[in-house]
Amino acid sequence: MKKRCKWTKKINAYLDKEIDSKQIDFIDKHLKQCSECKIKLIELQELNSALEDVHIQPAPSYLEQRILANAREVNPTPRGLIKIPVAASVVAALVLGFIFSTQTFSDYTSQENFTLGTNTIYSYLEGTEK
Amino acid sequence: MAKNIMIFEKVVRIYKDNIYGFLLKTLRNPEDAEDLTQEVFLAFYKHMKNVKKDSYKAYLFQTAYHKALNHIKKQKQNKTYTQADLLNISQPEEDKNNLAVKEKTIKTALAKLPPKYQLILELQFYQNLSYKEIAKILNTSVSAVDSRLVRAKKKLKKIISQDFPTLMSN
Repeated sequence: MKKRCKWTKKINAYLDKEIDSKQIDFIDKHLKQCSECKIKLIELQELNSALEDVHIQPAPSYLEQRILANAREVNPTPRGLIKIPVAASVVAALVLGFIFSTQTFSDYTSQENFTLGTNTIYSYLEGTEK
Repeated sequence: MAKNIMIFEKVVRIYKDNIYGFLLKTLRNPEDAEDLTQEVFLAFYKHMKNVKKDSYKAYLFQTAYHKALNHIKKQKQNKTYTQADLLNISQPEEDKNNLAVKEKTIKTALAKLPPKYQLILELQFYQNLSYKEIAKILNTSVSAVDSRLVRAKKKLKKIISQDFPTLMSN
């Protein structure tokens, strides 16, 4: 059985210009002497040209808008814009909470003082009566 | 985030034709190609933050490749479209020089290839990707891409010479 030329394996990459210039030069010269590689090259060229005859069809015009609309559905509001109101509400809640608690405390203490004061007056009055 | 949306819009604008074309050629159904194109871009949008800018193209094709592969596998379980296509194109023998017929013949021959061969040829011929880019998409080596392309072409040639012997002789 006739031994196959080891360079036939490189012909595809040679045709696709996917090998370095040194190898390209070598195969250029090799093709002049090796009929097996030459046949392989012609076969591949034929096949490539047949494949290249098939044309690419562009996407329909509405597809871009459909893709963008789908993406907006996945994330209708940009995250950055969500973060601002969330942070603002947290701060507002904290401030309001602080104000409310301070006011309640002062109300409580003032009421307690008032009660204490009244009691003192009563006890004073009671004491003076005695 | 608004910047991300702008980038996404730009990516859609640049690659929509490539991704759609790739899916249309491999699935041969405009509706399926449209649906999967949308899925591909949506998947990209969801993971955009984790994808490096110089890998956008590879990510899109990688996603499209896997989606197409899954779709073809599902389709092949219950479809015999290649035989039907064959009947359609074997009639006009006198029109063998006609480019449309030639194109249809190649499409039919491509459809008879195993999905992994169809997709790699699609990436090379119709998306004009280099071996290095294909290797990145398929997560393999450049030499593996070369070998797979050789096998794909060998198989395609066999199909053409068996089923459409007149095609390669012109």
